[in-house]
Amino acid sequence: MTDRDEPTLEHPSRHGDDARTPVPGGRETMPAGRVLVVIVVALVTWAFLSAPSLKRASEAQPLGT
Amino acid sequence: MLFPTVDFAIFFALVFLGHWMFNPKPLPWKLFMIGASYVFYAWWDVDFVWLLAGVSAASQLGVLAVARQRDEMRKRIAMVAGVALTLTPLLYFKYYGFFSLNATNAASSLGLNLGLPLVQLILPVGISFFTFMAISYIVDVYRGHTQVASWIDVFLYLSFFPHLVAGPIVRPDELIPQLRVRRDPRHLDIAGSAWLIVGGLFKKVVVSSFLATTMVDPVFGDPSAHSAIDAVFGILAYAIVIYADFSGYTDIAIGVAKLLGFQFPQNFDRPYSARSLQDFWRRWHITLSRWLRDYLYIPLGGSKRGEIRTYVNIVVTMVLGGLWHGAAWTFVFWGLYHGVGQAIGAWKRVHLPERAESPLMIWSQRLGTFALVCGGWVFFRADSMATAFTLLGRLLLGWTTPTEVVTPLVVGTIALMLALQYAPRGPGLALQGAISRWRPVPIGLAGAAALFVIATLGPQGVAPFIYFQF
Repeated sequence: MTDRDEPTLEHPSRHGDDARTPVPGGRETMPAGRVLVVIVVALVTWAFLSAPSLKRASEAQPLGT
Repeated sequence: MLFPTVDFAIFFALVFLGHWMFNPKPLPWKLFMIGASYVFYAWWDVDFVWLLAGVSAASQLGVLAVARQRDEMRKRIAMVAGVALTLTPLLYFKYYGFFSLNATNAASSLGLNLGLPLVQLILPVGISFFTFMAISYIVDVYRGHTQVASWIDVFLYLSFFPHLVAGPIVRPDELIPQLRVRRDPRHLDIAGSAWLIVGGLFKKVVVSSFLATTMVDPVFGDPSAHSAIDAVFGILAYAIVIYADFSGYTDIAIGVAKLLGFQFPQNFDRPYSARSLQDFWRRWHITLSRWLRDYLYIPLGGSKRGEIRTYVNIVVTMVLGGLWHGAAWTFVFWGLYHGVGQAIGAWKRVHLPERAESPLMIWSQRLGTFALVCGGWVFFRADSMATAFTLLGRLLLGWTTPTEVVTPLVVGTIALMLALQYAPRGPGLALQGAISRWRPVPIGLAGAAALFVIATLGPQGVAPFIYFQF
């Protein structure tokens, strides 16, 4: 296998049917690029949801920490 | 860097991106991952980074010395020297204070003054785990079970951040071959990984923190002030706390590794459904159990040197396993307790006839084993033998004292966590299968909602994982 055969964060549609292949347990898999989308969406949304408590926590701390 | 923190979330998002970008180029990828892992470790205490590097270098030097010898005796000497060199930092940081204090006390009772400096050293995080992995590498090369790896592979094998601070204890032949091949970025098990990470966070941040602060800390902190009912539920709560804490950490570690394309060995398999102490150790901290078996019990002779020697080997292995958890007499006693229990179990298998299995017998064995394990946890958690015996004494004498800390929520949480040990796996797998068919944005939104619920139910700030101190 050459470097060219090793896609990394390319668009999943380029991999055709391979993009969603089941793993043992009946789960379908996902390419790394889409997983990165999951991670970013989860973190950004969580930050918005938690903004009030994060603000309270930061205000409760001494300045400079 | 703790897993359940914003720091780690940002760190992991960046490492995930870099990991898959460098993935096609082995050398830059390895350098990137070593750098990321050392940053992860340095987040605790930058001063101890040299220690991780030193143990890595010592194990590789030991392995090269083993591989260079042709004569079996010289090979063995090189292996022992390599193991001794690798073990030295662990012995010094973890056991010097315990040894010097006890040796000084013993000598002074005989009227002698040893003059040993009494110092309390800070224990570097994860030292017990990466030292055991380093020993595995040296011994496995000596035994011919694994090949000599390159320096860079050894440094990455020992520092790889998902397992670095609290395991699982991954064998060289499980991880080093995975470092040598490029991971396939097209097939990541997002649902399986997310299930492990979110479930692990829930166990640690919600379940473990809640029971630790409401039940375990008050009861173990001042057992004489609590009733027998408090003592019973304090002990049961600690059984759940240590399971939720440690298996939660392991689940997160395995899930994180999965997202990077790595398979880690399973570390827990419903331990509180075990039917004997031996069965318990096949289900609890599995990677430590097999390490103790392969690198301690079998070299001691295992079961090949007669019946009595087998029992002695079991007890010695478990006592040393107890001591691995911490330099204190409570851990020594805990190891002895499990060793004697397992030796009795082994004796029964040899000398008592097998009885036909019935549901009543199976459940009696499960309840009996759980009670024995809980008895051991008293010594594991107590800060001294006196505290442990005071707490056990409350079980006999505290029935007239009113209960103060047992609430319906505490009882319900303990009951739910115990019931989950027997829950069928099907519904969880079906849910993972359904989630895996969602688009990325809905999965991300669901993950955010789960994180929000966990953060809302959990306390402000998260205590370090229990096993970090080991």
